Amino acid sequence: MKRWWLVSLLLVPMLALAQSDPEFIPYDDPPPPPESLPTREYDPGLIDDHLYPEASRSFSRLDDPNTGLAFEGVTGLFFGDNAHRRGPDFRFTGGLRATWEVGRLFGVPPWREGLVLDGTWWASGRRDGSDFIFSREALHLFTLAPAWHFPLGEGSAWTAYLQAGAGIAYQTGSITTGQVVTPVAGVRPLIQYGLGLRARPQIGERLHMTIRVELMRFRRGYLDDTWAGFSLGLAF
Amino acid sequence: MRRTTARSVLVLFALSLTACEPPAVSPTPVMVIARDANGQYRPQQVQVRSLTRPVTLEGTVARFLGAGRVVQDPEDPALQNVATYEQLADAILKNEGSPVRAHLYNQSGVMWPADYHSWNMATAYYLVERAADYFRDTSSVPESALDQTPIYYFPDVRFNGSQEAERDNAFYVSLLDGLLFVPEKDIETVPLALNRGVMVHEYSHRIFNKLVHRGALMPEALTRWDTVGSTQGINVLQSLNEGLADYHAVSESCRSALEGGYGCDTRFLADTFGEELANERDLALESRQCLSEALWVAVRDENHNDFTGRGAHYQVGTVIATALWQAGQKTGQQHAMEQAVLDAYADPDLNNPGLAELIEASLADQTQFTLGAALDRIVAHVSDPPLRDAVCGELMDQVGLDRSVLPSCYASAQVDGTCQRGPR
Repeated sequence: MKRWWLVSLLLVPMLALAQSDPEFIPYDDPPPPPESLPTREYDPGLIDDHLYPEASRSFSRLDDPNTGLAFEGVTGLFFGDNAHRRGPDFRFTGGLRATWEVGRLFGVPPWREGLVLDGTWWASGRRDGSDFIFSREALHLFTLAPAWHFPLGEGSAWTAYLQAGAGIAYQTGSITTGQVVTPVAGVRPLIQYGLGLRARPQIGERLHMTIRVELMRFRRGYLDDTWAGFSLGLAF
Repeated sequence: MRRTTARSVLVLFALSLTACEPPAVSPTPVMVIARDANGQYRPQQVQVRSLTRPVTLEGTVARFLGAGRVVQDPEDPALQNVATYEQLADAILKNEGSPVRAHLYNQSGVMWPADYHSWNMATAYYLVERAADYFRDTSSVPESALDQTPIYYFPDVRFNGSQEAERDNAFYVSLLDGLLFVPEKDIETVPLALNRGVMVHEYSHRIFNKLVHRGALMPEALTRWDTVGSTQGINVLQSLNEGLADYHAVSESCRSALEGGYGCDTRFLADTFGEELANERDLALESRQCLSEALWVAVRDENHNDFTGRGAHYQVGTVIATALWQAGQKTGQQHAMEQAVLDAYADPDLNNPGLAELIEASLADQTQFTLGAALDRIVAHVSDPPLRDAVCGELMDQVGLDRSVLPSCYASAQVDGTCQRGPR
C-alpha cells in the first residue's frame, strides 16, 4: 500500500507536464531560478539511510511497529556428553526462551534486522542404573546468547543466524542405593554456540509468530553436548 | 592494543575450556558407593591415592577406556595371517576405545560423581586400587605385576563368532592384559563394577597371569596342553585360577572392615548375581564344598572345552578356595595363608619351586600337573606348622587328596572330617 503511495508521488508531475503540453504558453521572461532546491528529506522515496539515519529510523518503525520482544517454547533432543563414551547420552528437552531484537535500538540496517539477544532455559532429566542402584538427574541450562541474523531473500520471513553466548549449567538429582537417597547437585560454566533458521511471519497487526529450527553445541565445563530442536512462539 | 586485547580474549577462552576439569591432588577425596558396616551400599567419601587425572579415571593402577570393541571370531580374515600373539591381540581389539570422561563436581575439594556411570567408574577405580594394595601388602608381589591395568568399561565384546554382544559379565583377557566390564542388561541389583569382590576376583586373574604365566599374552601351558582328549593340566590350571581368584576376593573383603566397611564376605556374588550362585561359591559352606568323585574324574579325564564349558572349573576352584579359607579361619592365620598362596605363585628357589616352575617342568607332559602336585606347592609355602597342618587337613578332606600326593604335609596333619569321605 505504502509503495503505491510513493509511486503516485512520482507520477503526479509527469501527468501535470503532459496536461500542459497542448496549451503551450511562451514565456516572455525566463522564470526566476529557485532560491533553493527542495531537500531530499521531503521525498521519502529517495531517502538515503546513511545520509538521513533519523528519517530511516522513523520509517522503519512505521514498517514494523512491534516492540521486538518474543517468547518461545523450546523442545528437542539433547545429546549429552557420555561418561563412558559409548554414543551420546540423549534425552528429550523442553524449555523457554525470551528474545529481544536488540538491533532495533540502533534502528538502521543491518543492525536492526541482524542483532538479536536470546535468553534461554533448557531442561532435561533422566534415570539410569539398575533397580537397586540408580541415579536421577535434572539438567538445567541457562544461557544468554546474542545472535546475528541474515535475511534469506528480499521480503522473506526467514533468517539464518549464527549464535554464541554463555551461561550456567545447573544439575540437580540423586544417587539411590537401596533405601538410601543421596542428593547430588552442581553448577558448571556454560558456553553456547550454534546456528539456526528463524521465521517471523505476521499473524496480526502487531503480532508475529516465531518458528525456529536450530543446532547448538554446549561446552559444559569440560563436557561437550549437542542439542537439536525447534521452537515456537509469539513476537510482539 | 586492540590485537593484544583480542589475544587475551582468545587465551581466556581457551583456558575456560579446560579450567573446569577437577585437578589431580594426592590423595584425591572421592565419593564412591561402598558397603558400610551394616552391609548397606551407600555413597561414602574415600581417599584415592593413585589418581593422576580424575576426569579420565587414569592413575598408576588403572586407566579406563570407553567404547572399546573386542571381536574374537574364528572366521575373521584379520586372524588368518597373524604370526605373533601381539598381532593376535591387535586383530581382536577392533577398537581400543577412548579415555572415559567422568562427570565430576568438585564440592569443597571432594569429587562427587554426577551420573550413574561416573559413580560406577569412580568406585571401580577405587576398588582396583584396593585390590592392588591387597596384593602389594600381602606378599612380595613385584611392582611390575601391579602396573597400570587397562579397564574396558562397557565395551562391545563378541566371543567365538557370536553376533550377540556379551552382557552382564566381567572378564580378564590376557591377550589385552585388561579387565572388561561389559554392559549390563539383566543385573538389577549391584552392578559388577561396584562389587568389591568381583573387582578383586578379576584383578586376581591378572596377578595370576603376571606371576604364574610370567605375564604371557597367551600362556604357553594353555597352548602346549591344548590337545584332543584329556587336558588335565589345563583343567587344573583353570580350576586353580578361578578358585584362587575367589579366595583373594574373600580375603581382601576382610580389609574393608578397617575402612568402616562390612568385613569378610564369603557371599560377595549374592549382591550382583543372587543367592543361588552365592551358595554355589560360598567359601563358608564347608560341608557343601566337597569335591565329588565325578568332578575328580572330570578334572583328570575331560577335555578342557567340555570341562570349562559346563563351569566345572568354578566348582573345583570353589572346593580349593574353601579348603584354603577354612584353614586360615580355623587357625586365625588368614594373612599367613594369603601370603603362602601368593608366594607359591612363582618361586625361583630350586628346593621349593612355585606353580610357575612346576608348570614349566610339566610342559612336555601335562599329566605331571595334577591337583595334588599343584596344591602341594601351596602347602610347601606355608611356613607356620599349625597352619600347614590345617591346610593339609582341609585339602585331604575337601579335595579328597591322599597324603601321598601332598609330600609337603607333615605327619601331624589330620584329615578334617567335614566331608566325611575317605581318601581317593
